[in-house]
Amino acid sequence: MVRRGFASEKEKGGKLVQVRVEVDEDKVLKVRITGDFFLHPEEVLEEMEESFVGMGVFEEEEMILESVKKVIEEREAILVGFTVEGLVRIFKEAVSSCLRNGE
Amino acid sequence: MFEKWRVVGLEVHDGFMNMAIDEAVSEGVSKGISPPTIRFYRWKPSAVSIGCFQSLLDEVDLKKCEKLGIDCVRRRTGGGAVYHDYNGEITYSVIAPENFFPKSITESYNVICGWVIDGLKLLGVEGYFQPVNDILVGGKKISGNAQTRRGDVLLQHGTILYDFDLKTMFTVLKVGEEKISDKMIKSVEERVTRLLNHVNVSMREVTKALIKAFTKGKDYEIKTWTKEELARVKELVNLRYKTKEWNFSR
Repeated sequence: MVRRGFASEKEKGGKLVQVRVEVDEDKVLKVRITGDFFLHPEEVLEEMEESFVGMGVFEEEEMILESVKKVIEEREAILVGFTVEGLVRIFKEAVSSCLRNGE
Repeated sequence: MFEKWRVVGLEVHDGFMNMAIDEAVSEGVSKGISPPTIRFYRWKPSAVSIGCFQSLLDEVDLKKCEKLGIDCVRRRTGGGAVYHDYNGEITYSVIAPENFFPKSITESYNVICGWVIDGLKLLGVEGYFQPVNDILVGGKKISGNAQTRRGDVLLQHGTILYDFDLKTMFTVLKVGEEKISDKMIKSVEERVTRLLNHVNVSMREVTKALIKAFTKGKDYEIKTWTKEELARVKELVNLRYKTKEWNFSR
């Protein structure tokens, strides 16, 4: 069964980041990140979304962070108005909301 | 290598064309066939532009837009949704090799926003830059700006609020479930301002001041688009900016 979840957050002095996820029983199937933030180069967002896919729904936060950070470092991406730590936190919250919805 | 900046202003286009011009000229600058360019323009019909990472369905009431004849277009730059009122705004774009500007994103915003601030000053209005991308007057936002860098080219575009149509703005932008109330309009008026609140000038005078400020210390000529650029603009309008694939991509 596919479950959908959503979470959003605006860090103080930052921009809005919204994360939509689709998960099955144990892993993440799809991630969509939207908001009024900036990211250079812009195409990296799709690679960041992709880096979350396949993660276990109970994956340790450090592991997720490492995987997204790798994409950012490899592409020398610059985040403006949000942080990778904040993004991972919102992602975790979106996944949690799926699990709650599934109960 | 072009020695002079090209200045184009004040033009009127629809939203699709405005965004396609920015992209076509960015491509031209990247290929070395277009000069570094400063342009000023308005949007007719009035339009909503959304940031490249936003969802059109989240941000915009499409039915209301259709009813009011307001276009919607996704930008190539990040940032938020903007209602570009034909009578309420002047937009600028700066398109030039990246190495004309500081490498730091905030620093380069600071440089170009500094030109806007100088333009406001010529009109007798004191503005200041507030990172990431805003210009404020007396604590209220008067200008929003957005930047992208591709193919060693920096594109920054931004708005200068001249007048308000807050009712239309709230009608077309989704601002939560709350009904459009006097209270809501008042709360925006506490955060946002317009040139006409500070000085009695025409759009023409504003444009003249902006051109003077943007070109200060630069070798430039007033010119228009090349045939090649316009052909590419037409392509981009049809291949990208008018398409559902682009506008609904998120």
